[in-house]
Amino acid sequence: MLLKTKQRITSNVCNIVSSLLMLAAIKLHPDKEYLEEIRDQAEDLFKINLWELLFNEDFPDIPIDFDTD
Amino acid sequence: MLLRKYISTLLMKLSIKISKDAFSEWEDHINQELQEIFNLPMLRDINFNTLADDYTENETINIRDMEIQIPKNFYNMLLSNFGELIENNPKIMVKRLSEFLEINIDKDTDIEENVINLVEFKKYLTKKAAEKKGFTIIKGDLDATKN
Repeated sequence: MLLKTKQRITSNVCNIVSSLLMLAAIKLHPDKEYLEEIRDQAEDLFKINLWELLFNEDFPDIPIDFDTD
Repeated sequence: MLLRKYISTLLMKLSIKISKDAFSEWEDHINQELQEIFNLPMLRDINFNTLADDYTENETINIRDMEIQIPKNFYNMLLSNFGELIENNPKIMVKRLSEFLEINIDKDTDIEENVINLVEFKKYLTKKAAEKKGFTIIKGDLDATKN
């Protein structure tokens, strides 16, 4: 159990560092337009892993609210 | 711009290495971009001194109001090798080219005048290279074309 938690924390930290590096790289890159998709992916990765690291549980699947009213 | 692209791509590569599975679908694309950066021709790869020996035939090119006789295909070689680099980062390219050819390019005036029109700029570099390597000027005056 302890090993599993340790692995999970390591994975979360690695993913957070990785996503921050990716976001920095995109910020630096001169042709930003084609990197939009990677940026979205990096932001999601950062959010999910930070959540998991802080609350020690899976990121909740929040239903998308299409009703704009 | 080229340096920013290079650092950015290296950061992306590092990011992929740190994260085990995220971004893996982009790895091929990033590798390709890195390869493209590394494959850009570098000034040190071209030996201007032996270049003239490689081309035995001469051709005459017209630059503004001058006629210069240079080794055949020299002009095309210059364009094909330096065109992309000049477009990516003209100021750094001018600096490096001027150092390599040991020619004095006035960075404040010459760059501003010539970078605006890329075709003119390439011709200008050819002219400078021709001047340095002593290619024959048939008609016209090198200094007169500067302004």
